Amino acid sequence: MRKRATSFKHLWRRACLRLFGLAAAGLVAATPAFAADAASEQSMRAVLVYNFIKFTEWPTAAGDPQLRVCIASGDPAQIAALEALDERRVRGKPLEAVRFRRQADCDVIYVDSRQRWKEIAAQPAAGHILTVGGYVGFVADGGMIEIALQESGARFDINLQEAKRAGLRFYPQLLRLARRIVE
Amino acid sequence: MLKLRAVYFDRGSIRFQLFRLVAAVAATVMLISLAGGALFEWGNQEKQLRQSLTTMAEAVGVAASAAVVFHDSKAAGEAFSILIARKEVEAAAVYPLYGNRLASYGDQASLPDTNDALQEHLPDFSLFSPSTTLFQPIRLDDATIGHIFIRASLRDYRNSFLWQAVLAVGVNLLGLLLVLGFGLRFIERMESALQERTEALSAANRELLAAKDAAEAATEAKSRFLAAASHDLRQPIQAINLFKDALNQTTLNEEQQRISDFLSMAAHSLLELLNDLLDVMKFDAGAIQPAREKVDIDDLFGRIDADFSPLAMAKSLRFKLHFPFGGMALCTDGKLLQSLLRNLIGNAIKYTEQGGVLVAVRRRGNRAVVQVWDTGIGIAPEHMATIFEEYFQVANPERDKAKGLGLGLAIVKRLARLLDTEIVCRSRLGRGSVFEFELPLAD
Repeated sequence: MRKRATSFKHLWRRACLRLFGLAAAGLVAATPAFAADAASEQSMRAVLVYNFIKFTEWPTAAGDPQLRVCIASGDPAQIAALEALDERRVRGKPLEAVRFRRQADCDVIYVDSRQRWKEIAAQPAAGHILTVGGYVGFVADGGMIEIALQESGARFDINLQEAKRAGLRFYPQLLRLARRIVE
Repeated sequence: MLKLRAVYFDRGSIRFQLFRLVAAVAATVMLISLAGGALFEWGNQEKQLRQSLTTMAEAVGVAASAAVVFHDSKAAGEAFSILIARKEVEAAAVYPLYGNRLASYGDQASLPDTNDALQEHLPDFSLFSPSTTLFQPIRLDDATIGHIFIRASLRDYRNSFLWQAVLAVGVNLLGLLLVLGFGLRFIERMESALQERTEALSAANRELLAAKDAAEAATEAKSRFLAAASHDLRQPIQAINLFKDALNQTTLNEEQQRISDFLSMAAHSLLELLNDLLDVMKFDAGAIQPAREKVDIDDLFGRIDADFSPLAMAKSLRFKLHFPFGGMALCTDGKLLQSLLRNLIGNAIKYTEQGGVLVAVRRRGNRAVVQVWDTGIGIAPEHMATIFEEYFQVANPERDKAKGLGLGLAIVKRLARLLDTEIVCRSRLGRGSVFEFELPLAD
């Protein structure tokens, strides 16, 4: 009896945290002149990654029962924010947020520094991986979606060519929102 | 036209009743069909409106989903481009799950700022409000990410409905007029047919009445004739008899006496024939009302015996009368009964050459059975049916003496009818016959 109660409480707490995170992100986006708080930036990025996934189409591979999100970041807050995506669902598939080990395991890679990206890019390319980067120039380096948090809100650039090469497709709604599209 | 109206609104006439019936039925049917049609059309319009608006809202929702998720007002606003082609949309807005509305379209003054006060609902088609609203969720991946609000003007829908209603009413009125027109014609035809029949009936009735009058007049005339005839015809015969008597008073030689006797017989026969004829006519004219009185058998048979015994003896026939010891009384008309018996017995004696005639009466229950037996020439089976008809006589070369008009049995039949009884005849050709009838006993 007691065990059950605590587990429910735990879930509830986690849910509230997530909701707060999203709400916070929403608030930040709605009020343009607000200076982004460091903590909420990570949450925002996490939310953006989650939403990018929602508007990305992987080639129909019945293989994996989940979508694995590999976190290539040194920022514990960022890692924590992205780990909060764990078990959320996209089109029926649950997400699994893990630390980056190797490309073959991943469906989505989040990288927040050029150095890290270079390391990853050096490895032989595995197929069908959505790459999201949180540093300036990611798209030029061959990444697919580059996040840029500005005072006016969150912006992102899309490298359509890279996405095509990886066999991924973006929903047109997403493309319309992009600040810049590289073909 | 006025004349027509006057005739048709005469409340008493069948025509008006029929017209009213036809009009009522037609109007009721049409009203019901109109009402049903209107209700159905109303539901239909509502369904169509609902479908159209919700589909539009969904399309806008899908287009704006990314914008909502990423909180991009501009992109959200662009999603409204779908609505431009739909003139009836007055205003639209997209709301995120939390916070103020993200983007709007059309008449912004009426749009709520937040979605707090709004609840998900589908559009209603109301005849009285100028517009309708819709508030439905925008879904992405089975989760609600925001809401869309649309206000659409109902003017066009209402107008189209009203026009349809007008058209329907018009068509129905036309139909009603047609029905009434045809109905009138039909009514008229029916009425004239009815009238014809009524007239035919009245004419037939009149003819019948006239015939009845004529028949009654004829009957009266007959009665009067009878009365006159019986009086007038008898007179010469009486005269003959008187003179015959007078002649007998004088001294006559043998030959004269013989001639006088023959004259007597002739006069007698003539009187008899005349009486028979007049009797038949009397009975037919219905001039006789039979009486109901107590008739004693003893007296009756006594008289019959006196009258017919000599006749029978003259032909060397036996004449017997059987009646119960202690007497018997009948409830009937004495004179008619006597006449009846006389005719039967006279006939029996006439047609019998040897043997005799027996008249018997006995009790059977509460009635008396009277029988007249004879051992005469009998009646063949094929003649049985017709013996009671007038002027029928069985042709018999043996007794060419049997004269008369053949009215005897015809009179018997009528007498029996008057006495409320029936003569039954049984006969064997060459052996004899029996004539039988029943009468009620006097208590």
